[in-house]
Amino acid sequence: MRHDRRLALLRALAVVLLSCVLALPQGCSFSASSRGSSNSSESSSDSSASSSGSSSPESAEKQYKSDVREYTAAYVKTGGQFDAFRRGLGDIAKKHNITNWEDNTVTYEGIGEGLGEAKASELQFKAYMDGLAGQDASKRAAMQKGYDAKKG
Amino acid sequence: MAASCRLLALGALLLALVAPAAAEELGRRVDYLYIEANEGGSSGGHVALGLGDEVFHFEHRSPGILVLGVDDLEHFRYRYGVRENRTIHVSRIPVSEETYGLLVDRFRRRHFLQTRHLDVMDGLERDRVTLEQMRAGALVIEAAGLFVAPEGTGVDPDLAALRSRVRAVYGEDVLDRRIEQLHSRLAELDPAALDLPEPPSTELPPVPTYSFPQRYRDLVTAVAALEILRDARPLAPGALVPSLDFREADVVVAERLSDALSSALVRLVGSERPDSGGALLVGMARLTALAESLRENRWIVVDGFPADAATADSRPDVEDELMASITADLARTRERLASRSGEGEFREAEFASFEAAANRLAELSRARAERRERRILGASLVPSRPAPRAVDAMDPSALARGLEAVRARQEAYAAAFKRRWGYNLVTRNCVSEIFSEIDAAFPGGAQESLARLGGRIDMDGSLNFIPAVSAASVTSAYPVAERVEVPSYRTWRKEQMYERENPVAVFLRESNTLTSAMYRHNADDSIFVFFTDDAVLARPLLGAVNLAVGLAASAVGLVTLPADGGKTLWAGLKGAVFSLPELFFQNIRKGSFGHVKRDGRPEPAPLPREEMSGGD
Repeated sequence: MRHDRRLALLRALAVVLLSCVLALPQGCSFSASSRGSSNSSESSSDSSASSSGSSSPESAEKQYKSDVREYTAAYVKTGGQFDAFRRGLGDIAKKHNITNWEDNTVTYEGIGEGLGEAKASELQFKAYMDGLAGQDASKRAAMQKGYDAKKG
Repeated sequence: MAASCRLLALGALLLALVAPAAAEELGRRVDYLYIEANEGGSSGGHVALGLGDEVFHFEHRSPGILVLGVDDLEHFRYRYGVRENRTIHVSRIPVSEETYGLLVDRFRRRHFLQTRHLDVMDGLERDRVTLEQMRAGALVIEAAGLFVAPEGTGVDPDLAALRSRVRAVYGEDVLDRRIEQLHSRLAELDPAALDLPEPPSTELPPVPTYSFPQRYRDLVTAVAALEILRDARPLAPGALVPSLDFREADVVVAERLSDALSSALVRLVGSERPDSGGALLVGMARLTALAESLRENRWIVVDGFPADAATADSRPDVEDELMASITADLARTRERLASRSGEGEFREAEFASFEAAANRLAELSRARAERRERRILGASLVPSRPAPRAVDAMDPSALARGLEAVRARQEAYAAAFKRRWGYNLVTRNCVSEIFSEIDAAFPGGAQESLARLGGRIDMDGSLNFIPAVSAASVTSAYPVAERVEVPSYRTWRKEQMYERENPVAVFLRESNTLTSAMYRHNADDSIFVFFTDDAVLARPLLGAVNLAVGLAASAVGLVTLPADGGKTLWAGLKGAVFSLPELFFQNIRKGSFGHVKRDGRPEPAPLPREEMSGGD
């Protein structure tokens, strides 16, 4: 009786070990956080410095502009309240360590590019420009530059 | 099955005949990256798609979802090749400019789409927290803790100067007027009008929404910021961190930054943007830090560590390298600030990088001196020290209903996301999603994919879902022009040692964790003695030793469980489990490395190992 129980235990152990061996060579990169670690400048518990050195300011700026462009182009397609759109710009900027996004011309260039990419009409573009850049010449110029670059 | 294959091939042939891309020169390439297994994040290996300097790869994330991440090539190699010590195999497929563009576009859009949905889920979580805090009668406001509490005394001269500038532009009573307006808007908010985002149902990104809890939080934050400015409230003790001494040129740099920031803050006070409060709080703290820097003749920055900053163990060998690396980062970011300061703009992201480097260096030194774990600064570099702020009572039943609705929406959103992008070991993993997205990149789907890339991999009924198998399939199914192997960090270091030292001595010394000159036990690694990735014939024997060591460590771990919280037990059990494949000539575990300083890493360019003719 005791022998049988020991045998069953050994068999169960063997099954568990075999399952481990079979299961181990599968799977993909796993991250415990839903945000993962790809874009984090610090992905591990063992680094308090940027893990690969921070990306260059040019590349960070490019990435910010690209995110604003995508967000704007999507908004033109999906619609939604304008103040919600503006609030969303704040969230995107904060992910790029920018709190005062209104004072950053890259924001406006990105918005212009997004409008161009979404094929917004000149009339629509003008409305966005008035609503976001107001009468500020440099912001308007940045939006126009982005729009012209992408409207095709 | 055979008929469908023939149809696919015929379709591909027709497309190849008519597609203008086929006639183009194949000036671009797509890299299929297979990353060897190691214990930890991906014990079965991992795959990714390299498009230029960007690497796209699907990660299995909690809770059971598959998310497309994008990394720059250098960071990806550092993460997997150096820190995780995995060899990366690259198969290069030549493609036309147009094909390349379609692929980049598709993968970027997918990344954007998922990121937006994850952002919305984060927003819902913030809404839940906000409503719970409102019910408790106090909101926790980010960055408000950088300043003394309202009952504190004293006036900060630099904020008083900013206040004067603001009043000169907008009128003497502007701050009281704005605060009153914000209070009116707060009173008008209807907790029943929640305006929550709809769960994802299509391939479109979420429609932006501005929920009641978010509006409430933004308005309260704006009131808090304007009150601090009105009272010119000083910074709280410990809100500033001293850093490098000024060089002669730094005085001018700090003055320019201060002027540019001050002007930006004046404009911000006049802004109608809904979330200006947070920006004003952070900006005012930085302005004060810059003024203090000029007084002290050294850089002084705002404390950037969040209240819930994670910590890491202190290890002298790693920290020496970290110290050198952060010092170099700080010097680089300071140079950058200096070179751009003449442009008259306050470049916030660049300033944040400098501020973060100064914080990291100071923290490392302090943690060392105080013999404690050091705090880690995450991806967000925006100072956020929080403070609670009492809020007016609202109808408790309305808040309770709101909270219930937010929780229900959180669940619905997460469930919808998982339905759409849930992880499955076999049917939807890092391999299957790459090939599914490749097909989806082209209007003609699978047929056009075959025509444009000259090959295609089918996932149905195959073992291609296993990363290593998929890598072999790619080399046979696609016209791979070149195969490149990027050696793991340990392999690369060993090769260098072989060149300089006695090879036998290096082989023996580096064969195990006890005498290795380059490997130090990493907290994420299991307990083991022998490296078996480069010892094929002896693998079962060395694996048996590793197994015995793992089991022995587990037994010790049982004893030390109350003292170390199970760390040794877990590392020992992992050590035993990852030794099992070694008994059957299979290797997974390779050990991993902590921070490796920039000049101690392999060259960014991968080393070609084998070249094949191919391509069109």
